[in-house]
Amino acid sequence: VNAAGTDTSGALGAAAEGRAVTSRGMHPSRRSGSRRLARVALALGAWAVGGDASAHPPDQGAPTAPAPWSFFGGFTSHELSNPGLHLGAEYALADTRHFRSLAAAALQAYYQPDTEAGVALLARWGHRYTAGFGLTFDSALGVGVQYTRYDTTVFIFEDSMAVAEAESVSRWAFAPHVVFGLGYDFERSLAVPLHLYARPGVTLLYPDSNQAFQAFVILEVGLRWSPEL
Amino acid sequence: VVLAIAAAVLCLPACGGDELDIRAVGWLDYGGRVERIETLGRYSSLEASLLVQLAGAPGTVATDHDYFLYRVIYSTTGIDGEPTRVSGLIAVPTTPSIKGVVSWQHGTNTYRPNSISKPSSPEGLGIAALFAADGFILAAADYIGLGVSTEMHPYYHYPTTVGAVVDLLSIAEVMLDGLARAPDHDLYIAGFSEGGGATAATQRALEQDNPTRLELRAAATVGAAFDPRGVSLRHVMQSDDAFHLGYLLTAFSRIYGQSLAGVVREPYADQLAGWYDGTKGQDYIDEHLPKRLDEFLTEAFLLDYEAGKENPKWFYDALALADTSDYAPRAPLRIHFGSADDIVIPQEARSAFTRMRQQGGNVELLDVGPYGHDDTPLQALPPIQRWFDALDGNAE
Repeated sequence: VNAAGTDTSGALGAAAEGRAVTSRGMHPSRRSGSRRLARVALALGAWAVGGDASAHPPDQGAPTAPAPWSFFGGFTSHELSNPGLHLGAEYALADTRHFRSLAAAALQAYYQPDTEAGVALLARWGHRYTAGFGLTFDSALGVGVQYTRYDTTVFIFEDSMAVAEAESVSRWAFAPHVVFGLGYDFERSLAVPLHLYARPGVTLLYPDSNQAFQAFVILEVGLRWSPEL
Repeated sequence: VVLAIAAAVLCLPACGGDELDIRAVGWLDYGGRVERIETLGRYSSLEASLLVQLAGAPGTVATDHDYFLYRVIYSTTGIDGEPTRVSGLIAVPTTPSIKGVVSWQHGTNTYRPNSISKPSSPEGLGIAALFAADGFILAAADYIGLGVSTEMHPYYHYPTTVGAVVDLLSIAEVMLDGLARAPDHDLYIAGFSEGGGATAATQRALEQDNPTRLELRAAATVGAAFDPRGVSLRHVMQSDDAFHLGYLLTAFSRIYGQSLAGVVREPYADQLAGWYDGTKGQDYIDEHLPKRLDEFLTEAFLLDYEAGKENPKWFYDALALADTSDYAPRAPLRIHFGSADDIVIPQEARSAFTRMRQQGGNVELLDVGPYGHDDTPLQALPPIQRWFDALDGNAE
């Protein structure tokens, strides 16, 4: 592994042989635990996509010293029909030429008319595979807490006539989730530090207003920007 | 590819599709039958599918639609013949292509906070997922004494239970007419344990006199006690089941204005009304009841029972009135039982099947396998859903 983070023999190989992959933002003396974790993470990531980075020669547009911090934001679709937004930051735990192990934190909000509105603070850990021509594939597991306001309507009837009263209850809930993403990293082809992504996923929410669990599909579409800090 | 996905997502909210509004039920005319409707939320077909799969339901279950949940508060006729306030759960699919109405009758429950209209109970959410996500309007009455009703639940008193079920069905019928694109008045009923007996009693009542325009197409019971005076009482006595016997005695003494003195030993005779008033769960009651019936019932009652004397008469008469094996079903009735059920023993199902068949009834008997009482619904419900779908015209 060179200083730029280019894995010349593959993440699996590095992990298997105990050689280091780059780990950013840490003092060398405090990095060994994180390195081990990163090696395992990268090996798992490589295994998950069925790839072996060693199959790719190092001269096919390898990234050089990608920025460890990046920021992302965009549109969130809750249940594929309700609008929302997300905003977050991502930190590269480790990089090889094709794989990145990452941690991210995000704030996400959505609104389902007449039913509920939620704001969630999410933390994720995952991997990104970036092909030589810039196509990316993300997978991430996350946990979060969501504050949800449930809008209920109570119809009170007098004979045949109803009067509607709006009521609401709010609740904190645990929100584990999983996302898988497809995207394009413009850094590879255009040297522009932008990454366009679409990340569908599933969030579980417990407890909901009825002390039951909810499960909903989310789809995040947005841009990630990697500034040189 | 990414841009195409992004464009599709941005388009989705605008291309909302043909969906009902969760508040549409509030603007229908129920003819004075409804006091209050509360929206309880929207659940997705994904949630329904996960719920059913996580519960471990075997086989294929159709969960194609999102659905809305409502708690409906309405009036029915109480044990004194006067109107009384009750509640129930109604689940409506978000599609206007509604297949019909399913009425679910829940099992024995002594604890009011676990009423089915508070859908945190697994039974409420699970049943809604099974039938509303399949395209039916689901109606599930709490019965008198549960939900918002603070009276004592008239356990195995079918005139009031059937009344609460049918009154809720008449409300579901208004929803069907008001929301469905082409209302299909097919009615399917099903129930478990106490609700299995209530299902048979509802079928018997509807086939004699149906006050709704819903047409009963099929009925299914799961772990139902059809013969309380015969099979059920024998089993309760043999198995020292003080919980169910105590519930029956307490309810019947209240309904028929009789004293438990001379039937139940002290201090239980005085305590039972406070245990079965909707404030205690089965675990609490089991914990406080004696483990042997000779410590619970008076010697006089036990001697009479051993001698075959039906004393007190009011108790045996009440049990006889709770018999639901005495009719010949016209719409097909499927009786499901678990062969390892030691609460409602398989003999209940077998003898009811034989008796109904002898009367020319349209009835089938289904052994769901070596499952105990509480595990039987999970085995029986997916096939019941497929059966209702098949009768509705979809492939089973």
